[in-house]
Amino acid sequence: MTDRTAYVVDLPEDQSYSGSAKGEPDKGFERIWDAPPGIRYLSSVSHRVVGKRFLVTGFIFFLIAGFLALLVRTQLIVPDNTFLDSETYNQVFTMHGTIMMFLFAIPMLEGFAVHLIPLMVGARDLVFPRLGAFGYYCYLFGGIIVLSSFIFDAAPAGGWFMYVPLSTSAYTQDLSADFWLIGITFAEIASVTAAVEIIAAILCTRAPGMSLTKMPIFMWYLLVTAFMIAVGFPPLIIGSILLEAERLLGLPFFDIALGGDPLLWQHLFWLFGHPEVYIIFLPAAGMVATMLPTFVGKPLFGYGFAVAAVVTMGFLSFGLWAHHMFATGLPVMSLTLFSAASTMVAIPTGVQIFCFLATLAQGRPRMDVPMLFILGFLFIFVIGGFTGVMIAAVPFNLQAHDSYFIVAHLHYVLIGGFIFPMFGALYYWMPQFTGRMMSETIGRWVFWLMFIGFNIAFFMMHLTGLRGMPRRIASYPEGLGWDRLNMLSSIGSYILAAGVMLFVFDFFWHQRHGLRARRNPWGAGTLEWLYTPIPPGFNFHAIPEVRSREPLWDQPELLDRPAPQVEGALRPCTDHRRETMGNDPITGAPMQIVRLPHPTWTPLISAFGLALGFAATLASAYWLVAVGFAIALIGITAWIWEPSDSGVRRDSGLRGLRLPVNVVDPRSHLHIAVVGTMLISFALFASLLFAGLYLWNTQPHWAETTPAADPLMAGLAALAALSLLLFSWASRRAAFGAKVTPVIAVDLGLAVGAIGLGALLFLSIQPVDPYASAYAAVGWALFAFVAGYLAVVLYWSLINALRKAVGAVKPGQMLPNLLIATFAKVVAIMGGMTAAAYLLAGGAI
Amino acid sequence: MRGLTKGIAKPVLLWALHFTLIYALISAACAPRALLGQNHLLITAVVLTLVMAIAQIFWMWGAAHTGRRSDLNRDEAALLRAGWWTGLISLIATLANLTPVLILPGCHG
Amino acid sequence: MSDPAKSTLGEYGVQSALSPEGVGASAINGLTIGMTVAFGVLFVLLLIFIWAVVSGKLAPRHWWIWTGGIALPLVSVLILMGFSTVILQRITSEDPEALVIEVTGKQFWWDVVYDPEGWAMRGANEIVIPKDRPVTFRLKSSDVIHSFWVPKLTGKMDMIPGRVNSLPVMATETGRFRGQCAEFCGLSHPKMAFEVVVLEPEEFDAWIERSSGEARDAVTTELTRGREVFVEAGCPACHTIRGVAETGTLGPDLTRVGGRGSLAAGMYRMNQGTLAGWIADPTAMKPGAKMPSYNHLPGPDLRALSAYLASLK
Repeated sequence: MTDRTAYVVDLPEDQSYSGSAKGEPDKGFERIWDAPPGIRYLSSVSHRVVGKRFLVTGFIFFLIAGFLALLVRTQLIVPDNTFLDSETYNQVFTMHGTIMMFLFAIPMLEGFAVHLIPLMVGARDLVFPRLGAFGYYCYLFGGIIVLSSFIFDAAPAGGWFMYVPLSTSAYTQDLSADFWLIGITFAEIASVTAAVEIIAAILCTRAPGMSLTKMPIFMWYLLVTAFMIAVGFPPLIIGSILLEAERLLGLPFFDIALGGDPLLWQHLFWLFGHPEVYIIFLPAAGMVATMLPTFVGKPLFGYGFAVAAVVTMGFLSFGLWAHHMFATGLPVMSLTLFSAASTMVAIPTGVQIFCFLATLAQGRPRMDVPMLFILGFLFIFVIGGFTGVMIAAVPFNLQAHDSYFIVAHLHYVLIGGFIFPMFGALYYWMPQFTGRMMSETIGRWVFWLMFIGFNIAFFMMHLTGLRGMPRRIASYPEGLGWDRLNMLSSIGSYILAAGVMLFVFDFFWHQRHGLRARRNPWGAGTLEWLYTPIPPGFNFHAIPEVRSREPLWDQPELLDRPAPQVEGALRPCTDHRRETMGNDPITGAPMQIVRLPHPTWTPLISAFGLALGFAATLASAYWLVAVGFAIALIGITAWIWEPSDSGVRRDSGLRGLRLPVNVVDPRSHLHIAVVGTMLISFALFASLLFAGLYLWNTQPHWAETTPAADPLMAGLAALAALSLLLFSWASRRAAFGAKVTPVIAVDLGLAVGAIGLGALLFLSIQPVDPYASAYAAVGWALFAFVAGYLAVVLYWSLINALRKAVGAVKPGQMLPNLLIATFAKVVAIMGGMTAAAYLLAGGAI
Repeated sequence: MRGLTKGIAKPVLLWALHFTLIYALISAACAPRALLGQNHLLITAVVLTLVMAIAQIFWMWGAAHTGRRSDLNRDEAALLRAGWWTGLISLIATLANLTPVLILPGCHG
Repeated sequence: MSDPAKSTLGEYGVQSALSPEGVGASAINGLTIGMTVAFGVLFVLLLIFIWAVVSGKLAPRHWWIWTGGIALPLVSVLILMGFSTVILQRITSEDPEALVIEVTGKQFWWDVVYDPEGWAMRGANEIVIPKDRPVTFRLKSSDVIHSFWVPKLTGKMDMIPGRVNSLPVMATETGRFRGQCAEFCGLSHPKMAFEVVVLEPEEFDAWIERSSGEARDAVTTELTRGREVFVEAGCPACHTIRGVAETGTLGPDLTRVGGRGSLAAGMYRMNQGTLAGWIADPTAMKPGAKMPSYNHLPGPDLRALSAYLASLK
């Protein structure tokens, strides 16, 4: 490859802005990485702390949702049961699905990702520790908001899919739907921030020499998953915001009387909902692909095949969303397209499963507990895969859809594809979290109870469904042929639950009595086992160079001496700062030293402010909403106002290689994070645009009766977008320059461009009344969306200008100008597209 | 290596574009607005698919050609294999996208 | 086969897709059996393969991925897609001569209009169709999304407010089949069922003849009193009984209510007792039902009213 020179302004060593001022000179390496004691533990941002928080919170939500599932099964154990009334039953199954999907599965995989990525790629922390901590608190507060609905007797009862019109204010008058929409959207912030963090961490902070194909295969799975989250979550976020706006402000996005369409919600929901299943499944499959080689003692068979499979699966899984809508009366041709695309996923899945099988065939696997869970995964998931192909056939789907056949299928896929690998992974990586091994004996009991219980509970459900039992019914009449099957399922669910409870017992038991883990207890080949797994605060004294996909197997110098003495980069800790290596995303060649933040309260304060704002929205206390968002803004400002560390070179400790700190380069972790953010932003924008196009196409009458936007103003807005584009180009140029003060003009130019574009878009949409039709409301939503982003550009560019004006920026520290350049560029494009959409919709072009 | 990495993303991105366009075409033809006739739908979809399938085959051929070089290191070989297999799966999936337009006489079967 | 005069409640398999009595359901059932057998065999073969792999009897080969990953899924998917598409076309194609029955889903019952452009005869919660004649259901909703599903006749179809969906059906056997709402629609979603009665074509014609006129006259004093109560208590605000009061459209048409097999949308057996219970307290029998409670009616009036309604066959 052509290695572009990093853009660095070379400066003398003793510059006062080396960043060492922020170090903790009284502390040694290990103390610097210690989690702060006492209440200050909450200010910790280390990935080990945050990862553990995600895992523990996620598991607690798993137990809660599992308990709700037992309530469901207990209600259905006999016909005409009166254990729960309809209202409660609806709340229980809604919350079971909601918690499992949003508050357990995704956060759990985030927990594994946050905890394991740095250890596996050879970094000392995640690349954005504060963002990780912020995401966790958003998830926690969002989860608490959703769960608190039980206390207010307003638990959501409209299903985890919240179909309109059932969830609009006409049919759900109480706050239950608002709890769901606001709480879940808030918790989703954690998912999208995690996506950005995972992308940047995997691409930018790998050990020296770890090229893309020397990464552990798990990293490929997580990378693909993160991109899927970035593109998959936005449709739901947009859908939720539109629905909440309809409930709160009366905007008619889904109002049938004003040209709204209930199917629009379903499209947006399933555009998220189907990829979601793969977002849950892929990391679990990645964990299987990581554990399998350890137990076979041979590398993964067909690394390249597995990479191809996971990449294609990530894409193909987006082409299936409408197979949840086969019974909605879509044209047969659309049905067949989605049916064809659905069945195509069988190919990469097959490639992947046979990679696993070929890996297994390389040697006789050790039958430890994680291996049992892997075999359980294969058995259950393959059945789920077969039933998945069955329901991709439209005619069969028309019978099976919304029946217990689907309940069986989805649990085979999700429990087989996520829960079983996850329990295997918990047994496998537990020493990383607690320093002790869990019990092999109890583990076998856990596995068999779960495996047998699961199959008893769910296998016959296929038949229950084909015998005509619909989903989501609180009771069923006696004698239709469902009675015994349901009793069997309920008994199975209790056995499954007993297995989970035994695991919980094992967890507490092993914390006291489990054997202390040896170094590399499973004999694995990946880097996270380099140190004896008694969790310290730090990851690597020195970050070793990696020359193999299984460094612990192929690089004897890593295991032939105590881990702290392993050679590598960044051993000297001259600035007493938390820092790690930054690399070229593709080759893994060292590129920069990344400075990492020390414990700070800003993430908690920002997340708390947002939580207050959202909770106050629920309570309709609008002054409190303002207070909450003000707190969040203050927290975020304090967060981004920190002195910059870029622009100096330091010794990397790697054969005398001197590397820049936080380099100003498009391959910088910060710039890659901005690119990831803008991918998410553009997906959000595209979801809104899709909504507009969809309504235009399916409700032509309403599109034609909606007045046109002002063509003159829209044309001027397009020009303003162009000018914003020019300023962002100038900002990018300026970032690599040595002069600071003149760049203030560029910053102010960005600010003015943002104001101008916002004002012109506002003027051009004036003739349209947002309350007149769904189509008109989407037009306004586009404006509001772009305006929100323009406000960020404005705020950010003013802060950049201010920091320069007060002398907080030195030459070579203008990375923010590179970042805002990319940000503003995409915002300008979205603004331009909005202006074009106004012109097109009005027939002006 | 940058090129080889792009080689993994390119074919499947093309699949995504193809799927989106086919979906858009079917939606344009089969929604109340009926912007497109059946014949136009068929012709556009076939041409689109041919162009994209040829591009994917071309990339796969290029990857196979590069794969015969002897100076590839392990990293490059792994990327190349991943790229070729991504190409194969994307090609099959691209052709599958065309089937509904090809086998059904109209929007409603 | 069930007795066409009685409720299907408690009848084994009356809602099962696996014992089809319609053209659509039969075709789908064939697909179901075919796929189950094929995937069952594949699954067993795969298990044997996995067993051989785990016990170390096979060495890994690249062609495994070619065959297992590409060829096998591709071939099975192609075969499946072929059958699936043919069956889909068959079960969705509409006969232009078909009898049209318009069904509107409401929370939590079904409003039925036979041949809306012709006789426009209204009924509720029980649909009578002829055997071996094509019928097209026009499916609508007036509130939230419901789904119309009679597993023994054909697959389900959603009822979406603002849209009209079509579901072609042809019954191949006479009898009484149970259907149920399959899309979660709120509080009493589990209590939103209905029945389809399939009659021989000539019986159907006779039934139409018999049913399209006004309601049966009240022949005893008690029944006459019941009819008076119906009017005095304000029932016509929502309910129609042809020949008595024809303005109410919010609730089910009661012209032939006593002739239906079951009450409250397929949930209770139809008789005077359940009718009286329903009138006195609808939400006890079906939470979320829109009908107000009439437990203030004096006992004799309630008896008369329920007797009258039960007599409307």
